[in-house]
Amino acid sequence: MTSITPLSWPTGGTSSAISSYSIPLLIDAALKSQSSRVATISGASYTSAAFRSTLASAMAQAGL
Amino acid sequence: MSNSSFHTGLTDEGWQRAVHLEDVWGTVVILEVRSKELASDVENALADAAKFLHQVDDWFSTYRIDTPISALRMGFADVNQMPEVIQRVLEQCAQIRDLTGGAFDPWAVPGGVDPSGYVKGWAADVVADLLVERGFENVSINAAGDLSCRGLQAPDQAWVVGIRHPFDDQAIIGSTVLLNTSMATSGEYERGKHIINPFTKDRHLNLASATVVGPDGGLADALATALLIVGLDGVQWFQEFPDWSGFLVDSETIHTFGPAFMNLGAEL
Repeated sequence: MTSITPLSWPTGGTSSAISSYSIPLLIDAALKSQSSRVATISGASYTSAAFRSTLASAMAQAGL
Repeated sequence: MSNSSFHTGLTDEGWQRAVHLEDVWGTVVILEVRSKELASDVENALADAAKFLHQVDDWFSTYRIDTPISALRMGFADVNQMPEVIQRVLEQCAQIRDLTGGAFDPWAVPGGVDPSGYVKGWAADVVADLLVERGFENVSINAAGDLSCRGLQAPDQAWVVGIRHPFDDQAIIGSTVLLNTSMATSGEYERGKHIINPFTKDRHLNLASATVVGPDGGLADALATALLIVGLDGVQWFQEFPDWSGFLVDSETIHTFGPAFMNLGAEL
């Protein structure tokens, strides 16, 4: 859907062991369809007060 | 004293699920096990594993005055007087400080040493392994955004995990599978400005979100925060770790490296 640009690394040597891509910041349709299989979510730490409104909370408790 | 809840259900594929939510550390930790048939003592097993999270609080809370780490911070105790587990965690933190050239530095914050940036991811790994030792093959721990997964989420399906979109709290921006590995994400979109750049001593960060995937949850947690501070230059730390991966988001671009995100480019 978009062009992908490998990053160039600040150092030489063994950097070829790492591959890297930059892609435009979009929520892709492919990711959305994949999300039905997503079991849980990683993100910045939330407080207990904010927990109920997080996607992680919704996913953990879906269908329970 | 602590708030917790226990729930059970079925996956779409018919596996049994058990979920335990534990209020601890000012946040909520999710413990989940899945199997074709879960052991009858699953509720007790999850509650027992969650007790470790409170033990971690008893050791490492900087919000309580009665913890060993607070005694160390206030100068009432020497590091040699700390419980062995605290000494080991601080040794790990010192190694990560060296690896990151000081971008992760629990000693550079006001108020004394604070290893919190390592402890959450480390504790998620310990809890996951406690449940594996107890006989649960398929385990997912979500410690307020730091994940540690073991086994599968469904028949022939490793755990699929999403990364929260830093600018949309109901969207994911990426996903991958965790094969007995851990994932940590650092950002300031949940709790506001709370990370100090140890180089500039201010609050300038170079990324909106930094996610690290690897076989060590504590290291992943620490490196995610270090990448958030340093930005793309921090990718050089991973040259010795080809099995580690990263997913970095700035104001307009996603940058990825490592095997966990290798297929991402191909899909788009």
